[in-house]
Amino acid sequence: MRALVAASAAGVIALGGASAQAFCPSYSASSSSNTHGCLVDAVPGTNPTLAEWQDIFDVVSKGPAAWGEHGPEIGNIGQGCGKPEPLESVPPRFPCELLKAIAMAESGWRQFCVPDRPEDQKGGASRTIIAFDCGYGVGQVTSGMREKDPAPNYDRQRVASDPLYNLATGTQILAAKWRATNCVGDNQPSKIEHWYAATWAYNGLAYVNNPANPVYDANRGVYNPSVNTPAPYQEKVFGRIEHPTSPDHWASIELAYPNPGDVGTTGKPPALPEPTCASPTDCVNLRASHLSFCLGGDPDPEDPGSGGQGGAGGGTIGVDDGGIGELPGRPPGSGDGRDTRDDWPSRGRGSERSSEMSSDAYVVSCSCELPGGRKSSERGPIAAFLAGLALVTLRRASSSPR
Amino acid sequence: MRRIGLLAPFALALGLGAALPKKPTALPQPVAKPRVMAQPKAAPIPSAPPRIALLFTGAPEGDETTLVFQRPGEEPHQEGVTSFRHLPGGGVKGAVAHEGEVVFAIADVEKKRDPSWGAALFRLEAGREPITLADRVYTNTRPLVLEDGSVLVQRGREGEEPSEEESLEGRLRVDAITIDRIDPLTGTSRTLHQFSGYIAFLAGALDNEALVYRVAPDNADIVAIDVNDGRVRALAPSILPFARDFSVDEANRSLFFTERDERNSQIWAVSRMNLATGARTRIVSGRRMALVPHAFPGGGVAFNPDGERGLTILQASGRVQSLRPLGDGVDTVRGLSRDGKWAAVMHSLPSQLPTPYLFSLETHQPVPISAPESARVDIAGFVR
Repeated sequence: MRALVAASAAGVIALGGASAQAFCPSYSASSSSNTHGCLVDAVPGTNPTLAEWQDIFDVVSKGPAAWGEHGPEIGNIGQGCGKPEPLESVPPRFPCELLKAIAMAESGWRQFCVPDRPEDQKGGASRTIIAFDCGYGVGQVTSGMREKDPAPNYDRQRVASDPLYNLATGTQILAAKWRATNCVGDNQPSKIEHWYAATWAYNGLAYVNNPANPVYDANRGVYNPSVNTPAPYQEKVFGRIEHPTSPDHWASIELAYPNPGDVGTTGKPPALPEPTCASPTDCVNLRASHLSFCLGGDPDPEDPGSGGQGGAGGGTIGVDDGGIGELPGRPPGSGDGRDTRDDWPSRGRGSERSSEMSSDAYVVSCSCELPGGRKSSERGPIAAFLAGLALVTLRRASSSPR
Repeated sequence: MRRIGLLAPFALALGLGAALPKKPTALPQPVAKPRVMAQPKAAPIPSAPPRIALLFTGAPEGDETTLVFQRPGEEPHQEGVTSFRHLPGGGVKGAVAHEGEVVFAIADVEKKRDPSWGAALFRLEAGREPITLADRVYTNTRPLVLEDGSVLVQRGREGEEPSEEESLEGRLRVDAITIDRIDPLTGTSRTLHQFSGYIAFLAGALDNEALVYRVAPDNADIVAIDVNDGRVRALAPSILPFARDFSVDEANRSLFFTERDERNSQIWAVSRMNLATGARTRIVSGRRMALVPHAFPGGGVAFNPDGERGLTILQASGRVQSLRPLGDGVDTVRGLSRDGKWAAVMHSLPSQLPTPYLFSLETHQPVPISAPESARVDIAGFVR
């Protein structure tokens, strides 16, 4: 029992917290605690500096054409989904922002650290970070690193010893997930948001990462690591991109999200239209999608606005008939059997849909987007009310047909 | 930013807006500072607020949760009666047993890349060490306490990862799931129900039946499961797999929940399901999923219009009361006091820690719950 004595009238409670950065497992092949069959021993090494990591991410994001012999071979991936670009096979490349956020979530950008567990590995020289389940290095490469796995088409030893090779191997897995999942938008590898489904699959195609899973808060919004509200893996990665560890790690990008009403089926994510939602739980406010800065993208894409054209880059929001993968079966019990995506094209007209919902008494039409692109919920309630009132007035004044 | 988010709603509700800082302050520090709201001097509190059981966990990566009993509105002296360790971060959710001072909590304990079945059920009470009653519990779920004090949890084991072919066909991993009835003293487990699928979410209980929302590769449904013999009664044999935020209306023998519109993926609705017939009626709808219904006394239902506009009551008469004690945001009703005079509520804004408070159904005034500023708070329920 622990008595928490009030240090003041307010009652101060000190809550301990564990530092993720301090966590440094090294379940090396030779460890007596290696219960998952990790095949490769930890390799001594010094973790790259921040600047060195930036160079590594820059190279890896450009794919095998850039890394040459310094990474494994990766087959081509699909680009285009007929909306409008037809599907073609292209050399893989990856948004560096995505790689940085995944690596931060997986390892805190650490290939090497001084182990603090298991007991027989504690201390000593800095060496490969190896998770209990044989996740190796910065990308926490697991597949192929265990006794039970078939021989991989990459060099296991280099996965343990070389940060660039490790990260490149992680992208090999990510590319496989890209191929195995359905299109998002027009399936452009250089668009960060189009990796939503592949990022989900990177963590395993499990329902725990389904945004419609009722265990997650319906108002969770964009994942913020400093709050750490439970969220699906891909939302955690996307949230990290918006909430960087520091400005020196990467610049914040306010990513767009797919409509949760489209994503959460009984299978893997279906083909999805261009993501335009302002958060995983808010499709009233809109956001643009983003080309990766490392792949020639504009860091300031056009703003779709809450009353303007939906979707950046002219993202067409329409019915998808496949491309990389086939559409899964229609969700059960979907009424008249009509694919709900038939409704989407109208969304491109803007976020005001109150006329379509007039039969429901409690649908409020104001999206309350404030000047400056921030949501009303981030301001004080009075400011939000006044801004919302002004916005409603303006919208009503300009709601006549064009 | 964080502190304004917490303080502003109460300060504004209490007419203290001018005292707010004009600029956001720094993000919360790991060591907690008191998250105490100004006490309303003018606000009448005719009935003394009841005691509540709270679970405090440090955010963002706290690995210890403390059980605290508190009577909001009084001197916020608070004493942690026990605490337990779990994995850093993650959700911790609790439930009290019969307004007693035993609290059951579920928290992640097993470090896994997929956290699905890595949680455990704990028994917490003053003067005793915490007891782990069950493992392999689904992450971020809440225990369901039955009338006799036994506890229902969703447990399971991971199935095989889908093959490449299955993956291309759209399959997710299918798990072996059970609904287990746990003895509150010994942890002895009895399986009431077995299910092969993705999730079997405990939506509530009424009489001798647990209400379970199940999702499998080819179907989603809601069933009632007899908590004694495990007999299954279909309520909604096939629904869209978007149901959430369930609340049982005992008086009217119905279940409120949020679901997606069947034809428009941008619309969410609160439905009321008759627990005798399974018939569903749409009550309200909005454009966000956070409508978060909760049954209220007299046949009404609390919800959040358009998923962001705060506590609102739709009375059985059809009258709508917009209460919004903390303004915009989502108010999730965690429970009602036995006398029906108080609601325990979590007020949330996206991407921020929620703010807990009590709401007087007599005066319509919020009463702040004292909590450390950087703590994740869960209201386990009312206690004696």
